[in-house]
Amino acid sequence: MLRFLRTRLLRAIIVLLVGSFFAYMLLRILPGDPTLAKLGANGTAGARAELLHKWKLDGPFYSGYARWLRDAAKGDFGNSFAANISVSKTLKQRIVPSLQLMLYAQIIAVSVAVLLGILQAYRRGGWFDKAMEFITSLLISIPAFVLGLWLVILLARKGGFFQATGYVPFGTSPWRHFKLMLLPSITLAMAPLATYARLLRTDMIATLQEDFVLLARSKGLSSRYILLRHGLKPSMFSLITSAGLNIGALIGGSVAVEATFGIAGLGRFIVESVLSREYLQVQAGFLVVVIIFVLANLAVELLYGVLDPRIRHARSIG
Amino acid sequence: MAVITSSLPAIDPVIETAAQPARRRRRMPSPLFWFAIGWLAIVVFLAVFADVLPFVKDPFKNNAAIARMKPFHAKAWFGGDQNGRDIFSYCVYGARASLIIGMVTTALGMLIGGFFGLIAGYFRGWWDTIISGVSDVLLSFPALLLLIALTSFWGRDIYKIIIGLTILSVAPLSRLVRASTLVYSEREFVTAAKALGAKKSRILMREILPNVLPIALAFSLLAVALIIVAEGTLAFLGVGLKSTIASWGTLITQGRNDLRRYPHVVMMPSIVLVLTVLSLNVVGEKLRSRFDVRESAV
Amino acid sequence: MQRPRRARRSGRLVAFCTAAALVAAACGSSSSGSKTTETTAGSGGGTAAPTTADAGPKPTSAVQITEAPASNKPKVGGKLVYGQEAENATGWSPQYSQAPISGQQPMRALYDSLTIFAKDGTVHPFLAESMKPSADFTSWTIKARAGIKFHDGSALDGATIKANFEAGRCSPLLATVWGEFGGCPATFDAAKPEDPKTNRKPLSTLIKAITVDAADPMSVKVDLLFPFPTLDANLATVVGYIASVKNVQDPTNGPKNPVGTGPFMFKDWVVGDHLTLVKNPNYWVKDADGTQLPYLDEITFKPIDDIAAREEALRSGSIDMMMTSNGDTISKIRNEKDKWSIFETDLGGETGYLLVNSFPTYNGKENPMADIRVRKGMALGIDYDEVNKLRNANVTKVADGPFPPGTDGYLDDTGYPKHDEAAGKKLIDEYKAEKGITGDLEIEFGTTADPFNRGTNELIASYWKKIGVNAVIDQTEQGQYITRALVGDFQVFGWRNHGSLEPDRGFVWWNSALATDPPGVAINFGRIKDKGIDDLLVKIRTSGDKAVRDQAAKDLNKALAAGVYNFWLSWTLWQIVADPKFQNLNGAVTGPDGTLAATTSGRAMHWLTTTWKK
Repeated sequence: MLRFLRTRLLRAIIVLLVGSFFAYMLLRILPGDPTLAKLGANGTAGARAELLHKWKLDGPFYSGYARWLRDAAKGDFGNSFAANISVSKTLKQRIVPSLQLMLYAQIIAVSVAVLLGILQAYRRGGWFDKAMEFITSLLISIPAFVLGLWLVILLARKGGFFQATGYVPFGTSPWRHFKLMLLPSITLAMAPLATYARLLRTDMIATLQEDFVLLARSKGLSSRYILLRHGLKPSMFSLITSAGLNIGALIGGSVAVEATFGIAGLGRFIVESVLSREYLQVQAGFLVVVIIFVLANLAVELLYGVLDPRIRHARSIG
Repeated sequence: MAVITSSLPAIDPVIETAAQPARRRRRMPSPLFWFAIGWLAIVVFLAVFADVLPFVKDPFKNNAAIARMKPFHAKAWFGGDQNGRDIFSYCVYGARASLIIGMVTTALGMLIGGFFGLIAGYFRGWWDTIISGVSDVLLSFPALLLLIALTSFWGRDIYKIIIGLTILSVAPLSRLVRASTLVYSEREFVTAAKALGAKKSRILMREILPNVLPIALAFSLLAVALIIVAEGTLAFLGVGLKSTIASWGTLITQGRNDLRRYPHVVMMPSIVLVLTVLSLNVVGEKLRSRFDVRESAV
Repeated sequence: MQRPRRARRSGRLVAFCTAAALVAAACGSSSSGSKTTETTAGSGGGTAAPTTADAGPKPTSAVQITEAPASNKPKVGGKLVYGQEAENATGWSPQYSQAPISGQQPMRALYDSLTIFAKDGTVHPFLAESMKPSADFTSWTIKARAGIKFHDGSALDGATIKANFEAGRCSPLLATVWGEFGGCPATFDAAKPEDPKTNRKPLSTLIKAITVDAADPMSVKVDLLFPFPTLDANLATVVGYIASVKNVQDPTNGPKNPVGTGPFMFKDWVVGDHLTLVKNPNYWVKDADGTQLPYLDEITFKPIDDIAAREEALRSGSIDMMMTSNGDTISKIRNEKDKWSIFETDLGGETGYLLVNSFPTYNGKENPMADIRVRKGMALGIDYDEVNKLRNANVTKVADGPFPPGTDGYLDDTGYPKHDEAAGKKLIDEYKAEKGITGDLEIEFGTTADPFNRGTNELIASYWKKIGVNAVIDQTEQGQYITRALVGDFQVFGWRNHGSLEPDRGFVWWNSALATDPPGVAINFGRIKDKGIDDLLVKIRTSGDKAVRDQAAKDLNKALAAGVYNFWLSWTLWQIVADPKFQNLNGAVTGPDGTLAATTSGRAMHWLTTTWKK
């Protein structure tokens, strides 16, 4: 077990380091002079050199990387070019809506998926099962930006319950916060929901054919009891794994939803920074996403290791 | 891109073992499957022959008479957009762009990613550690955002977008091929070949590759679907194709302004997009479930 | 409608002291009768009476819509959420930030200008108590009004005004008026005004000296190198916004913590999300009944760049007010006029047009746009009426010059080419034959990331395809877009600018002295080098005689059309629409001398000082 933990942790750290290195290098390998955005064509050579040093983009890349990483660990990502606002301050503000969006989407996706998956497995091959197969295929095929637009066309009306754009922090008004987050969360949840439902269905069908279920049934336990007590837990592996892996994907991948519904989140922050050549913000944003991704994956792997004894003891296959 | 990790089958073969279906039934292809095949055939046909088909007009020719016209009209089958372009024709040419980008990217990605996947899966050891390590890192990057950064800084010509997408697809594709290769490497016929003294490269080419190919094809279809979605998302965010190439994503994005009054400008291309992606997914899934052997790994 | 959010006119160049520059200046001076009306209760809205020395035909009015007449005693209190076109990432300092439309609205709430326009188009002192020129207009004496305090408690005096002007000299935003192109020199040497080392251009550097009167600390004298009759009008715009001394001397923090004398004070700013201002309890202006202004307690500005999303937000109540220049939205709202408070204006409206780069080379190759035949041919190829119909829902007027109706320099017919596809094709063919080009002429046609603008580009590109020009469209993000224009990295760009009532503002855009070769930075983006135009611009800037200036403006209009230096499309109409609870959308303040202040001078300018909520 310890060995398992150690290898996973080590791997996570390595990925983190290499990932952060890529985030740093992104700016050094891309064409163009980053100081142009700040100084313009009239900046003196001295000013440019100073700026490059301040941004840790000069010198050999490994030393630049080290300095950048060191400052990043302290939480110092520099200031924005446009108005000198601290990047970490902006990051902190922009990350909250994305985290909330991801959380709500996951909650919706997992809970509905569990429901659907159970029902499908229970009545495998029935009309509900077949209908759900089709619907989940469909849901996976609708891109987030299209789904968002369709939902807006269908559901959002003036003064109606579903609101189309905007974001209100939870602290300001919980009711309005949830009202505004409802449509975006649903939009973001649909594709994962379909995947989770499928995974759960598959797993559950397999579980239901196991011997211990047969035993339970012969004992005369009700179907519902069997489903929920005995069937659900061992079937959750794939779903949980997928949900965990999705955390990282959703953080970055929610850009389209944020754009459609006017939410000032992390994804859009990165895109806006890329487009306005706010290089320091781009670096910081990427780093944050990589960190979230790695942490989420690590958590899933550890959890998996804890839950599944086969993994704990087997040699890692891959 | 939530869709990447969630719609592609779980990558780690260990996970798949838990999801093992009890039986492998050979099910008759459903009506949905046939619809998907049919739809794809139509799309490909239209895309290939767009220039010579009489009912497909110049997608960029604006005809003020059909501006904003609602669909299912004799003059404009899918209606007209704000500039008076024929949405149906635009969708047909958009199919071309989407298919080209999708197929070229997938082909390149499969070539490169598949190559590395085979090596990693077959030779294991250091090769595997390095290749898997690199793909782990690549996978930890938010794909969409990276793509946006790449194309923003580098340029948005069609070939640059293809290259960017290829770079991003190499890692997942190599993972998938690796997983299949792992399984096949343990099979008896490979062991037998080894015992007979066959060279490693021969085993790879003669025994493993032909078995991995069908599943690779299945994954390719799924990959094409994802890439079409990615390109559409890029267009939606305003960082799509540079020149006046018709693409579904561009039309959907432009229709956004008139979402309420003229929803057909968004609806028609988006329905076409979704049906195409759906068809690719359905066919790809069917092939995958037919050929995927990873589930019997344990 | 194309738009890079451009700024007002004062034209600034790019020293790039901050990220990309541009920003235009303020709208200029005398309105000559352009109309803007608003009907909301109690504003006394009406049309501006034409000034006597009115040259040119009376402008046609913008349609004004009425709000239901309310009981007109303004109520004090209430919060407003205002959806803006875009975020202004560079902050809120008149000297150090860019100020596109979205930047000017909050700035109008934070700062007061030294002078204001009265409804009849004349200029009156506002923050200043008086502004007196010398007989030859080479020097102005400005006296600050007594008893005014900034948001941080400091007092307004002559030294403050001086500090503002000096910082303005080095500001990329305001440099065209105060004039130090290419960055601020370390020292200002009045003895050597034309010294090439200090990178000054003739007629762009104006200040010789600024001195606070030793005897009267509230008074400051500005000596200029050249006569500048319209300085007072210029100071009614962003050029004349006065910030506190501390703020003005801190370029790093000034933009994020604006301190002015205006009706609202800065509270907090989350870039990309919102800017909140609160009521200034010690604002120095009261209304006619003696009630302390402003009426509103708080204003929150929210940037929503997507047109559809902004409209959604308004309809669903996420925002209370929004501004738009999108034709479809405007006509839609007009059809629902009972449901909203509406204020529209095209007074001194900006011109939407295609900016053309006529520099001889582009990307190392010969630039076809430098040849007048190509420019004229492409101009002939555009179906202007159709563009106006399909893109602007016919809400705007087709333009043929940068001076809209109601401004000096306006002409019914400037000689700008009208749509004639055959003639256009002929010219293009002629050019192609001469250069040996077979196939289409390839041109790069850029726009911002906004999908609406791309749609406009695509429409126009389709016209050009018919005459043998293949315009390849590419989209660039706003900030980069302006940068590209500045360094001349473009051939044809969708654009929106001008919108001035004062033709002098055109000085910087079209003067050959400001046409640095690419990739050097130049605010004359198109690198127009036309001696005739230069001479006219000088006349406009320095003649004391209004009649001479007006005529020169008209000639300038004709010269721009003859050279087809830009492809004019239409004149912008701005619409401010709000929840009907809000009254008096153009809530300008009554000046202390009793004249009702500014009509808007274009560019969606309106004040929120006397706006109130039912």
